[in-house]
Amino acid sequence: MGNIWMFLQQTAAATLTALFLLLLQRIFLDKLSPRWQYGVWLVLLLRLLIPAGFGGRSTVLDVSLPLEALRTRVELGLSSAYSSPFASSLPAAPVPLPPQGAPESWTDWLFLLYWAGVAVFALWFVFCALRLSLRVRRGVPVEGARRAAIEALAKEYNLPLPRRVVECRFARTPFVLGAFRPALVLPMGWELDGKVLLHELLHVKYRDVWAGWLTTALRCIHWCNPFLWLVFDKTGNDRESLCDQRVLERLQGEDRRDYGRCLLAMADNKRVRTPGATTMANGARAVKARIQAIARFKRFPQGMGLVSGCIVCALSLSLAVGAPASAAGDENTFVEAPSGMIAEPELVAETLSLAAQNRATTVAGALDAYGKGEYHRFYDGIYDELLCWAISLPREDLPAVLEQWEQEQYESSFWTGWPVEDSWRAGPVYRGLTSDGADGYLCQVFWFRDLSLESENDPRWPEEGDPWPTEYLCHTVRIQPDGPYWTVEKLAETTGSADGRINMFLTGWWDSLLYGPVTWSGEANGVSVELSCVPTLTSGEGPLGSETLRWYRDQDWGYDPLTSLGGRNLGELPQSSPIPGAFFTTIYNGMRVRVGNPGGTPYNITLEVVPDWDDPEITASGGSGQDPDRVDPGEHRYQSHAGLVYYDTLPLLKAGETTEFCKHSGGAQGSLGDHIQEFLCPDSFTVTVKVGPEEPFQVPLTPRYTTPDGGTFTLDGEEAAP
Amino acid sequence: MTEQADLFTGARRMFWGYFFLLLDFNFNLGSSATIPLLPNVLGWFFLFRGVDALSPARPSLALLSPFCTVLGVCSLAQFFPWLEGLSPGWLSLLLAMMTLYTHFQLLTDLAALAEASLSDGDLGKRLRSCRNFLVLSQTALYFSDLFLAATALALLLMAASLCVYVVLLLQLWGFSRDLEEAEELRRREG
Repeated sequence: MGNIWMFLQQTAAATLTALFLLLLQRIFLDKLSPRWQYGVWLVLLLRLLIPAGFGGRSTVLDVSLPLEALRTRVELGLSSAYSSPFASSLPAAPVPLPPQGAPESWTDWLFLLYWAGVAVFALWFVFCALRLSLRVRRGVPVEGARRAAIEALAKEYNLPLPRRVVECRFARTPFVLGAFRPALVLPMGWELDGKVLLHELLHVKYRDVWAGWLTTALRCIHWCNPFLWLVFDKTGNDRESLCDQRVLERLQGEDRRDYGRCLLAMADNKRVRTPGATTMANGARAVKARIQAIARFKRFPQGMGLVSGCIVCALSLSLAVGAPASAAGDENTFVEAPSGMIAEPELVAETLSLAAQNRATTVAGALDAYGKGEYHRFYDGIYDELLCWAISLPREDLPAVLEQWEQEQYESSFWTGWPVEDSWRAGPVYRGLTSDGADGYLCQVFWFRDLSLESENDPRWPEEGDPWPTEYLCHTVRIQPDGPYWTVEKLAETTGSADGRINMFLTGWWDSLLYGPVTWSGEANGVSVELSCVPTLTSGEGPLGSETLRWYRDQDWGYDPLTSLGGRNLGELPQSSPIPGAFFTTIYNGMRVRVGNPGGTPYNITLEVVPDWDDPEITASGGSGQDPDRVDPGEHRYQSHAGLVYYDTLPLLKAGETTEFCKHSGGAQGSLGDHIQEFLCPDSFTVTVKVGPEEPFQVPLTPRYTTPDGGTFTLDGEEAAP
Repeated sequence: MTEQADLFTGARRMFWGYFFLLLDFNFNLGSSATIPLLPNVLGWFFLFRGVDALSPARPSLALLSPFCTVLGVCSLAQFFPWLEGLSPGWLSLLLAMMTLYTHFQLLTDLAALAEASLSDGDLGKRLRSCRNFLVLSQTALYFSDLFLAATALALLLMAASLCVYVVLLLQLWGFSRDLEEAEELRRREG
């Protein structure tokens, strides 16, 4: 727990669990044994030791979402050093961690106060225990006949006897002290009572002093939660009730009634809360409850342990461990933003906390949210856009993103809810997923819109039957891991004409000569070669807004967002909410090739391109070319759809002439899983060229980062070449 | 009516109670309504009446009357599947725990009654075995609902549970039949 919100998450989760357990205890008061009544607190112990929301798990009594929304809302107006409005406040550990840096807001000061409280309480309890230990050390050891009587009792009931048995003047009733070397402390001159001694010896046998210390530690951590203190008192009482039950199970007839009378005699004693000590006298109210429990005493039927164990197991898993978030299947889990058209602080906080709890867990999930963010800039509620950005962008970018988003909302003084005429209406489609050489990936994210043509006199006006020309917006992005999550960072933005054939639902894109994110080029013996791996990918239920594109020349075409479904029924349109755990759902392989003859004599060129990956487990399986017999995919473990072996004989190239084309080799669709090897472009190529009848030679290639129009960009701290 | 006849009546009601509870056949009328052919509410009603009849012979059974009432009322939700989504998780958990305990205690008491009222001591043991399997299978099914995505495992659990249910129903029917025969014998001898 590194800030006050983490403490609140943890203590709120524990409080609700304790409330539920108290309710359950009340319902089963006369039905289940004191063993169960005490044992059920194990569930609370687990809840206190397992951080709330640990591993993305959710419990039956989950309050993390409203607390996250509250934290986001409060922290948006502060600049805290320990907490952030954009980072989740689910604790990583159940104990408070030392504050990092100087406090900068009132929530930071609150955390410091909490931390100081933990330290003060811990010191106070240790001091109390030490003081008691020193006083007991000055006690008079019990020897002779009294010692022998205690030893006989321990032997009779087969119980361990503490090495130290002492009498102290300050002690009002017997008690046991010390976790490692327990001591039995008796009041000075106390007349030995076998039943009371039996009670204390049973505490020694079952190591209840340890349980007392554990409760004390938890009291320190949750010192400012009075309800939990009451619950810890209740656990102590239940421990004593269980000890009573154990005593009664060992006694017969009149001795049981005598035992009740012993307890009655202690009813006037004040409650003493001493860490590391157990005492039979624990306050009048507790003694009353214990006497009632004794009145209910019965031997529980054989098999009671089974049902008690089953109930405790079910409670532990439901209330403490929780169900994994992925149990329902992340691939199909959409995150829906609050609906609203006006920026309101509560909804902003709710959206950001929703995003913090649903960050992208797959590469496709991060791209899916990022891609839908651009789409939602012009569609649906404004919070969908914010949600998408907050799910997919790096945490450190979120303040700027939020500021920009708020600015956009402020500027859009007239918002009709209809798509803006020149907006990027269709997408996203991903292209050229490539390793960035580290743990991340590079990719191009495309959105499309129709080209706006004034009249048929425009040379770009399509011929009858040709598709209507579209233009694209491309973000070249880098997808990087952030712990178990993936984030998307924009590297470059490009717009241009979307050449090539795009299918109706935007799931495939062929013959496009646009560059991929990495382009390899080289020259040898008068032959220049340039390669770009450009597989097209989609995620989730597919790209959005394809119905808004004007696919075929139609002069009467007019877009109506309510009725234009692009040949689909309303129910078939893809879901526009982000899927943080999405997988890729279609891939169409492609490779852009450019071969040139910078100078010299015209010749025929035979070209062989073999992709290669740094990961030895990935080998190419696809093939394309005029001589497929030459393609040998070989043995491989992964079916790599992204890389294809290419073999081709090119037509005669004159001096200074170049030829460029896009080769493709099929693809796949369906739920393609998270095996990123399936989709990854090669890390290098081996290109072998044969010119006319001469001996073949290899062309060394150098990679560079490219935008779709052939421009270059750099990664942070790197040169243009990867 | 003799005490034995009370026992028979109680045991027969217990059988019918479990018959309605353990076997589920429904007519689904879309997502808004379902018509259960063997409604659970009837099962809880029979158990409640059975508890009423048997509690003079086994006082601990009387503790289960409130549980049978609450569970019976809550089982009315079976007619309205859409209510399931509205029910908070903690309530479902609470009801699951109450159901688990009720089955355990009912079958424990029935086993004790079988041993006390019939010469066949094995019936008590068999009822206790069924009780243990029932508690374990219901816990396992609860876990599978919450935590397991594996359909095959859930199906296996359901198949095993169904076997346990059938054996339990046979034992309960046998118990009530034996009580009926014992009553008949007493009447003839009397």
